[in-house]
Amino acid sequence: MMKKKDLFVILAICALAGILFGGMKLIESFNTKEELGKVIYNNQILFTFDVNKNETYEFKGDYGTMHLEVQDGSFRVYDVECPNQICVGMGWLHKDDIFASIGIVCIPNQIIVVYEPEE
Amino acid sequence: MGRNKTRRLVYLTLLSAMAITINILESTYIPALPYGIRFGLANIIALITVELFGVKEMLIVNMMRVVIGNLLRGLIFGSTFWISLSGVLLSSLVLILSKKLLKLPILSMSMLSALGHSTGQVMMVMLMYNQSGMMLVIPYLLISAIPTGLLTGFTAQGALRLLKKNVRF
Repeated sequence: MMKKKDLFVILAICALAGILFGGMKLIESFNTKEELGKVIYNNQILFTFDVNKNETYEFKGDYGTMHLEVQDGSFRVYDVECPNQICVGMGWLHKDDIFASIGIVCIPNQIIVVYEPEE
Repeated sequence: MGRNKTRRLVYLTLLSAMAITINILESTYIPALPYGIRFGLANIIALITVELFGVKEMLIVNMMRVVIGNLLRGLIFGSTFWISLSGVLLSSLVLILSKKLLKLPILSMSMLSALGHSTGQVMMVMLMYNQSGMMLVIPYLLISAIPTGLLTGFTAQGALRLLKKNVRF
């Protein structure tokens, strides 16, 4: 035995839930700040990059050129002029990964690629 | 007068016992769905009480359910006790408002009190654990209050029809 008022209440709850859901999505979309990773050369910041933007970067260290690739919140270095290739061997680091705050380190180039989430 | 009082006491005790039993059985044998969605079957008893006796009696039955139910499970004055207490208080408040102020039918009352129950619990969790992120769950809980509220509402409606026909209160 559903009455008319019951239908109104159902609609009202749905509307309320919709409004809340929409509001939260809206707030979320305003709150997405840039999450910047850093490329450090000789203890100085060479440049910063947005870990959410898919892009590739090229930069020079002491030994030669390096390439940084950013994709879907992960980053890696590739095509590095260096015999060791240890930094390439680190592979992809995701921004939520604990290793992202330790970073990719290249000793011959004096380069550190790191993403530190803000507290 | 004295006889009526005893009669009322006995019915309230019976209803409280049923609410406690349903509460314990549900929390033991029916696992929670994702987002902590549960049926809240004990709400059936609250609805029956509010329809048969009134607001004050419903409050008594609900409080008995939380306090004695948690006492029997050995969880009294733990964190879950406060969470369920705040849920029940908000749900009772919503039930009183929708009964006295808005004069809604029983299905609406059921849905709204289910909504109040989950909202109260989420608010208490936010307060106790400083987790404002729990807000994100509220829309899902609001939507889930519709089917679970309808389930308890229809059950209470059927039970009330039989009770009013066969039992003299």
